[in-house]
Amino acid sequence: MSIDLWYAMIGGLLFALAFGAFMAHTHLLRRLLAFNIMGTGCFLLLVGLSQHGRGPDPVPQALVLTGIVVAVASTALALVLLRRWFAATGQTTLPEDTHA
Amino acid sequence: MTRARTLSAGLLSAGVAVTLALAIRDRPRAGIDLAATVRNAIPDSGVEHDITAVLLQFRSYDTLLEIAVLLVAAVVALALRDEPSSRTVPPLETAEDEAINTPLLAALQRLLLPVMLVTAVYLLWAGAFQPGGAFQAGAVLAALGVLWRVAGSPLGVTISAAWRRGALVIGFAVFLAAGSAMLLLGRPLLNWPAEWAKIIIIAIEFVLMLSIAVSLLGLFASSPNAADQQP
Repeated sequence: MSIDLWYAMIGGLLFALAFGAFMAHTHLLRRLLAFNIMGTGCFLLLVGLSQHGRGPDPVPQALVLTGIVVAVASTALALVLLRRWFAATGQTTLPEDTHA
Repeated sequence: MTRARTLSAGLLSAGVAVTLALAIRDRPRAGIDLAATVRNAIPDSGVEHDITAVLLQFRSYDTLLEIAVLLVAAVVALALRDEPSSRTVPPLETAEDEAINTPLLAALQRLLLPVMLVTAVYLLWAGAFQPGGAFQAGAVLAALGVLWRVAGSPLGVTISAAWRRGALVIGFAVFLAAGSAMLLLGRPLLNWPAEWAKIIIIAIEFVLMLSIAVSLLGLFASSPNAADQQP
């Protein structure tokens, strides 16, 4: 197994772990963190798998770079929404999760 | 967190892990060698670095949409400000009483400010021939802005709302305008002529850097203040 395939495996593992955390927790901040780690796992999987046995491939790398910027922007927006939600309701979970 | 919830989440997570591991083990062979395709096209791209060439030449459409996403995120964050009825935009810089007044932070800021500015411009320029580019440079500038916001503004610099809106939009606007101008020249959208490519790419990267920095800093600045309550 090459180091790139190892990265892909770790990416898959990170994705699965974060997916579990995303489902298990109801606190919105934890969910956001888990969602971010899922994204990171995806990036690692994408880059690792594409450069296995062929060396660096600029197309997936550019794709991941774009993905990182979008992820940062959406995380920041989610945090703004979350703080707004907390300021408005005093809740850190969504109503569906509170009553479930 | 209930026991059933934790258990089902754990089971599903383990299932996903096993599925992904099997998929990576039995991966299909790649049909085309994209790296080689890019390598062959680099001489026509106007820049020497392959990732910059992909971002701003071969797949510039993605980058255009990316800066549009950043713009939308920044605009939504602005729309969610505390008093939606007022026309005031939360300022990028802190009010005098909100700043954390420690000599350490002020000194750090004075030391880092010039270094970070130079680093940002260097990263932008380096993007043409080695790893670097607008996004890295914009991130450094945004970090500089966050430091500036946290520590207060020792230089007394403020950014008016009009300048801020302008900086927010300029990246997307210039990119779109340059891309559309190619249509007037009879070329496809976002397809730069080889002899002008480097100048166009560097110019777009420069305005992208400004917009990225202001979007990220604006997202940071427009987060509602919840400091008085503990989540």
